[in-house]
Amino acid sequence: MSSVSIRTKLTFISVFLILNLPASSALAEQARVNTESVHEETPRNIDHLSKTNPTVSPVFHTSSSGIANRREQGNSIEEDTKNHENHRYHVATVDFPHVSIPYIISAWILIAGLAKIGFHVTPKIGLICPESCILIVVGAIIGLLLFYTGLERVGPLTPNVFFLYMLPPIILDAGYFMPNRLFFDNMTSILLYAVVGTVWNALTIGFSLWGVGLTGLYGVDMPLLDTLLFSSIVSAVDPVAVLAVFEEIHVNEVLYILVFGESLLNDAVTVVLYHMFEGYTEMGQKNILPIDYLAGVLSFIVASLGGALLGVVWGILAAFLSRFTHHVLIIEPLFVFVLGYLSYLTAELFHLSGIVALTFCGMTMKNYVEENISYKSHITLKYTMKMLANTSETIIFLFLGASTVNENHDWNTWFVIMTILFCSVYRSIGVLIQTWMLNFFRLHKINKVEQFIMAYGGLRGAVAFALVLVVSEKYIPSKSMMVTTIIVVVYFTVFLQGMTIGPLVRFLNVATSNKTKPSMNERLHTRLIDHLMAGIEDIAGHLIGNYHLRDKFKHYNNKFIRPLLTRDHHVKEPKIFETYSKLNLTDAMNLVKQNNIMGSVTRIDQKISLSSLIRSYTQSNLPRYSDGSVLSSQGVTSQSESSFVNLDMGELAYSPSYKDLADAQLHHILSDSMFKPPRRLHRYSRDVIDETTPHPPFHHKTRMQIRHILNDKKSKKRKGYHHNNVRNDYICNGKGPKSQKYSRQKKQNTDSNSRKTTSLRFTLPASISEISEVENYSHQNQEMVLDDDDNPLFGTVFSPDDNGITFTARMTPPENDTHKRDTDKISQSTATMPLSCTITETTLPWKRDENCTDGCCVWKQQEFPPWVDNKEYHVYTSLTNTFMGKISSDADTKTPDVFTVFGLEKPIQEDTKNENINTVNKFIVSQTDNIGAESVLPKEEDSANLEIENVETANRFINRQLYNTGAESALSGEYSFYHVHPKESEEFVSKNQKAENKVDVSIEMQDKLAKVPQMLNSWQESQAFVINLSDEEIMSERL
Amino acid sequence: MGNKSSLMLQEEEIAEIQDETGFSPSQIERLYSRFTSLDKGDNGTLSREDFLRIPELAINPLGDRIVHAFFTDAHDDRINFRQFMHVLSRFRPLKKNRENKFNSREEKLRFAFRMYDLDDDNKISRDELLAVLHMMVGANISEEQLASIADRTIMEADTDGDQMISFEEFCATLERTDVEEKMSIRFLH
Repeated sequence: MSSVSIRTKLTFISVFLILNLPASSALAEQARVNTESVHEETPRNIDHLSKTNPTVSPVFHTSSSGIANRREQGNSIEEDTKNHENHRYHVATVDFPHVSIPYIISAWILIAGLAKIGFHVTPKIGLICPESCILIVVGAIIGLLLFYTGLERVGPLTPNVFFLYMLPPIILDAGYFMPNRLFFDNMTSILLYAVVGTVWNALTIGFSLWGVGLTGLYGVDMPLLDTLLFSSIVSAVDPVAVLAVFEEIHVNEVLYILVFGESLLNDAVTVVLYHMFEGYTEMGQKNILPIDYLAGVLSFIVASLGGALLGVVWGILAAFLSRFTHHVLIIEPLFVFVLGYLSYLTAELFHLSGIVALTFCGMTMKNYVEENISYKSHITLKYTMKMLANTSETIIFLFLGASTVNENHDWNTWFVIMTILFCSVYRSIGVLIQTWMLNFFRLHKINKVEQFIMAYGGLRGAVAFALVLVVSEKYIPSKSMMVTTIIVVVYFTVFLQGMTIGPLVRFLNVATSNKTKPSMNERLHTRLIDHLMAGIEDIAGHLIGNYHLRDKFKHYNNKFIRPLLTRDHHVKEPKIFETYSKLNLTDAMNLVKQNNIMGSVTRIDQKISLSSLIRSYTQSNLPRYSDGSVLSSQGVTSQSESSFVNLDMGELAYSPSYKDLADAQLHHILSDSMFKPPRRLHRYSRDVIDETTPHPPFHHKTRMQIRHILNDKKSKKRKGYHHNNVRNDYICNGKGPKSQKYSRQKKQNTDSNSRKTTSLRFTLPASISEISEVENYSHQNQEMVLDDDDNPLFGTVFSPDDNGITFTARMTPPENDTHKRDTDKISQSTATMPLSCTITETTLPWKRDENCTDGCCVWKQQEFPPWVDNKEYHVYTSLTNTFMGKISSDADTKTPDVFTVFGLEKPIQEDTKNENINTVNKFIVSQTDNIGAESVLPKEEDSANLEIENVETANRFINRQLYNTGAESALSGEYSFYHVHPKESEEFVSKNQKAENKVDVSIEMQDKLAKVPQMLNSWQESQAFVINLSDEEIMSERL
Repeated sequence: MGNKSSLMLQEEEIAEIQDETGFSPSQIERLYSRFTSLDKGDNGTLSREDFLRIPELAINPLGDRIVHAFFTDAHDDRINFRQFMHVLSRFRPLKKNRENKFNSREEKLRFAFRMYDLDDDNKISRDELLAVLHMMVGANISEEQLASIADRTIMEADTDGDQMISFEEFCATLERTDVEEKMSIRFLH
């Protein structure tokens, strides 16, 4: 007690200095009396600590002085008023003791955070050693600073602070996010390692140390009970250290759960052994009766089972409470923390294992709580828990480092060496023996390498350190030696083993974990397998089989427990739904965020075609040139924010009537006002964040967020429109039946070019069932209908109705889409086309199957533009009459080869040469709509729609044409390249470029595919002509 | 019990079964005693009813399917001990250095696949998937939700685009799963 009072006196002196008060001795006397009484009031164990342990925590230290200070202030004020001394009012005062406790705590947390940042900012440190090492080092440095500034009494890591405040968050986090299934699958092994292993370690280490002590090697008398107490402390693997190290090395999950589960559960053993031996020591070796040993064994059962039971009870309570917390949404996550903490404290109250209790509490409540709480609470819970755990862990290591610097070390070389030796040796032996036994029963045999990692990963940490500090010096005279030894052991394991275990894992090729989200299939099939295996175990008569027990538990869980504990319990397999909604959410997010690269994600098979390559290329690059320079030069809206480009020639010429435009505008207005809920005045309330309805289970509503994202995008886009008279919506969908409709609209509106509107509709093959839906929105230009067949993950359709995005899974294979104009006739059964087929590949005559006889390769035109009746035009001016005549009539006999029909050798009809270019283009386009990619077919009648296989010939041809027509520099029309080297075609195009030209690059050279994008790039930069890529082209209207 | 069953089981029969399935004689005897205890009619074969009498199977949502799988090779509606053992041998754990005839990864997967594929066309159709989902998830869930899950599942697995899951596709989806371990039980000695 004397040391305490001296210290408090010192404090007061400093306090007086700070407060600039006169140090009257009477006052100090009085204050000291006060503080002494305060000390009497402090809890027994603190008192006990401060008596026995010279390193008193700053918290208690300052707390007493703080309280004293306040009283003393009161006193001094009284004195002041009495004496009327020359005290003036101070402009500014420094009152550190007033804030000292929270200040010091915050400072530690700040240092911890900074240390963590420093660790992650420094690039190479992470490779050399785990975070925990760095933290200890930083802590030690701080400890040194404190030591040499004379504040060495600030030993921060006291057992109380550690056990009551810093350990629980870590354990709760561990328990709550424990992979339950993995844990229970390996329960037997974990229990064996935790219980038998720890007892084995404690006893062998204790007896060995005692045995060595008998030789007098230590120079200190070590009775058996002392060494046993010491060994029970040092034998336990530390969950904090294990977590810190194993989370960084990513070993496979079985190995992880074995080591980690052991480190959690062995706490029960440690606590019991520790209390047992402590009790024995206090009783004295002579007074121990056999009954005491029996009591020790019994107390182990009580502590472990009692802890687990307590945890389960609190967990169930938490789950039950979470049924109702949706009424107080804001504090929903709090219940988990508070109840978890209470379970820990309750266990500690009864001297049960708090760690076991908290672990089980977290594991029990997790599944039910997750089902009950809202999505936001879930996120909050997760992050808060992780944050607390991480902070605690960091601070623990810092404290550990800081605590090592004190002057009470009692270094005993042999004791230290022997301890480390026995710890390593007996742990290895223990693991070997137990694994050998376990491997008889385990399906997943633990191999030698894993055994080694298990033995090697037995890290000691702060738990042992905190425990050894609690040891009473009264009964154990060699306490300071033990403290020093424990510190050395902790340093040894954390530094030496922790630093080398990572490289060892890599060197020994330990199977590492590849944790990924389960796919729907995996989730479903594993559940099926579970049921199946349970059934097989039933049939084979295994009544204690894992699967059998789990199935039985699931059954009763669904039948009795879940109805009690969860709000929405009619779903038997919440996990399946969870996976489903999670996957859907990710898909939707991806779709929204990365729609510019979709389609190019998974297509790297040999079936890739140029057109699909370019489609993905243009998609991924569209935002770059849709936002500015290239397009704006052509008077097109530069703000067209669409991430979707029209890749289908057929849709480009869509130029709706004024009625359509008006409709669209009206739709804009409507959708603007209808998508966004009317803004209501929210009264501010602390209880409620703006979330009027409780979140439904399984988080189906998250899709609403996506809708909002889409909506935002749209409104942005629309804003862009309003600045421009020219509206640019793009519709790209070449393959739907609606394209015919478009063609009609188009030709009706060919003269409405003054206010040209192109609509973007990005519809890669959609199923038949969706087409009708899609069609409903076909003139709502601003809607985006996406359906991507290229990426199987994106099988969802955003239908822009007011119900938000509905995830409609597709019903029909994408192949059928190419046939869907003939859906009536074609059965869906015999589709074998590869997914990556573009429309060109399926409809272009020269790519068709020669022996294709049914209607699936060529479609007769079903609708005809009005000019077909105009004989004169038909004969003389229509470029399409040629193939219409030929293909339609020949379709049932033999598919004509395009080169025989449209080959270059075919004479050009002279009378169509001077045809107006505009009309020609228009008709090409309208034709496209009807017959897919026929736009690529050369129309030999006009200026030049060339299919070029040989550049030289083409040049000659063009020259001839120029001569004939008297045109100036180049021909208008389309250039289609086949089997032409990109370089050549590029030269050709640049030579013959003209504003109206279209360049159709259908280069079918696999090895040169990669060059095409660059080629396109250079073209786009240099000039503004159309690049018509088979079935895909970029905005012919912009020219 | 053990005595009785081993009396009924001929030595050479044990040897044959051991040869075929890889079970040890003691396992075979143990399973034979299980077989006879299931065989309420004492006629040396098991009927579907015999299986379904197991109380745990009754609460197993896939109980019917599992029992059905036992009868795939049976000509009539009863299976004898040898057929019984053949089915069970699929669930023996894999031994690295031994021949795994029945309990290879593929055989295990095949068995799981058959749980879905009722019409034996080597493809899981949407309806078949839905049926299993119904059994596992329960009736309280809306049809659309189940359907969308089924669609999603098929879409994910379907690589050739026929809207069915073939056996190859099925295996591909479970590539990351440790089927060898998951679909094995340690038969008691």
